[in-house]
Formats: sequence, structure tokens, C-alpha cells
Amino acid sequence: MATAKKLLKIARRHLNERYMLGALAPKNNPAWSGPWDCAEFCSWCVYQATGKLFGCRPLRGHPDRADAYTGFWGEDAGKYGKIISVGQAAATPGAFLLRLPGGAIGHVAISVGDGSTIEAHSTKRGVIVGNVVPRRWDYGVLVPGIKVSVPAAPMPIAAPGIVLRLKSPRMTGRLIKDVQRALRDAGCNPGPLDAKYGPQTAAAVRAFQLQKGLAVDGEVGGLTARKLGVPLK
Amino acid sequence: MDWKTVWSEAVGAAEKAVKAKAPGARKFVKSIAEARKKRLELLLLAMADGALDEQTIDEELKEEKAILESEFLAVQVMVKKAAQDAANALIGTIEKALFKGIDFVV
Repeated sequence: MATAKKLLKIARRHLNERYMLGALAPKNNPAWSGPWDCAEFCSWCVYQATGKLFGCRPLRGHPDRADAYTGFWGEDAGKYGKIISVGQAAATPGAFLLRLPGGAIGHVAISVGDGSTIEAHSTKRGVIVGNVVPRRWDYGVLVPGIKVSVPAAPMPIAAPGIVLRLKSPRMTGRLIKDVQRALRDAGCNPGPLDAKYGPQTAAAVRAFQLQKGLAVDGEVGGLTARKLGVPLK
Repeated sequence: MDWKTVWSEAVGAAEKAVKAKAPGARKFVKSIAEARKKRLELLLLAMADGALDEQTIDEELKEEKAILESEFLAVQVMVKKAAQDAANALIGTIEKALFKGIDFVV
């Protein structure tokens, strides 16, 4: 069984490499050096550490053609892995932190266990050492075949502030109309200014984030809000 | 009632809920809850000034309750029922106070 230390060592070797959304990394190529996207990076690291595919489809196909995706990470976490809390994952070296795509773009990162992460972040920043906070995650994941030591208590993780996002039922309110107006002014069409955070608003947020070199997730947290000039108190 | 008092009562209610069923976990309740405090305050403020609709805030509070439960449950000596009760007590106290009105110092 691979250790968390081995997984992190593999991941660290690829810091500063290039990010490209939708990139495909041949999981069985140990010399691969990018480009990466978040799920490809994590699945590639898992394969290099354990020799098994995770978060990919097809799961039993050729590792060089298996496509990694945060949605598959969510499915595999429930079927083959173990779902843990975000605070627990943040304190567990070798655990993963997952934000499900939920109609937008998800994200997955490797936890270093001290509140930091190793992740393929964005076009602008590439593969980086990041932080668990202040971001929104859905849950943590333990991947089979990676031996980890889970602490007796979770790390208290400061929650992000308000995060406007695509969810059901739709988020509504004046703040969302302000975001839609700012998106329109920035040349990213959010559809009607109806104060509802629907798919068109999420798509406009993604276009705006791409334009500004931000991590593209379709959600309006503190950083995207600041760039839009809409303060989230 | 002011937010500081509401928060203190909410954390107290969560600690009380854990005390009987998982006494060893009680010491972790406050730090886990404190990590969510600012977000909860921001949500309530957004509702108070009409920035987000009530239904949206209700949904966010439901999500906060689930997150708190999973974080409480991540304490090794915690039991599921105590984690549920603590999360219910914390968010329930805030929701009750919301009906009466909460004063914020911004």
C-alpha cells in the first residue's frame, strides 16, 4: 500500500507545471509533466502512487486514455473511497478535498495535512501549494490504496464567507442582481437580470474568471466578487 | 438580542447536547463552531439588509447544519446522535433568535 508521504512526494515534483482546463494526462506515464487540470493531476498522482485508477472513466480501461473529472471523483468517493469531513481532510496528509461540479466546474486538491494543499489550480498559477481556506469544499476523500493517518479531531477550518453559486433551489436576491449587472458591464452575458443564480449566470461567471485569470469554478466568492466590484460583506 | 449573545447561547446549546452522550468530544465543539461563526454572521447580515432572500438563507443554514454535523462527527470520540443534536441545537438557537430579530454591530 502506498503511503501519504509517497503521494505527496510525487505531487511536489510537479509544482509550477502548466495548467490547462480539459487536459488529458496519461496516468501510466511517469515522465508526464503537464499540462494538467485539477482532476487529471490528482488521478495521475494516485495512479503513480498506487497503480490504480480513481476518479476516471473508463475505470478499467487503458490508463493512458482514462479521463479524470471531479464528477467521477465524487462517484468513486462514494463507491470505493471513504468520505470524510473537510476539517478532517485538512488535517490528514494524503487525503483529498473535493468540490463537486454541481452543474458548474468542480475542483479537487491533495491535502498536505497542515491546512495547505498541492493542486493544479488555474491557467495563471499552474500547479501550486495552495490553502484549504478560504474556499468552499463539499467534503474530503480517502482514496483506497493510500495509507493515511486520520487525526483524532478535525482541523477547525474557517468557513468561506458568502459564496454565490449554482444550486437547487436557485439562490436569489439583490446581491445576485448586482453580480449579474457587473458581469454584463464586463462583457460577460449573464442573461436576464432576474436576481436568480441560474446556469447562464454561472456560465458568465466562468467567462469572467477566465478573462481575469482566476480559478474557473463558476462561483462568486470573495476574490471574484472583488474583481467584479460587488462587495460580499 | 445582539449577535454576540445569540452566538454564545448557540454554542452553549451545542456543548450541552454533546455533554451527556459524548463528554470527551465536548472540548472540540466550540473550536469547530467558531470556524463557522463569521460565515453565519455574514449570511444573517445579508438577510437583514435584503441582499439575499429568506429562502436562500434557509437553504444555506440547512447546509451549515449538515457541515457542522459532519465536522462534529469527525471527532473520534463523538457519536452520531450527539453530533446531530449539537448541530441542531446550534442552528436551531440561531433560527429562533432570527424570529425575534438579531442586532448586529457592523
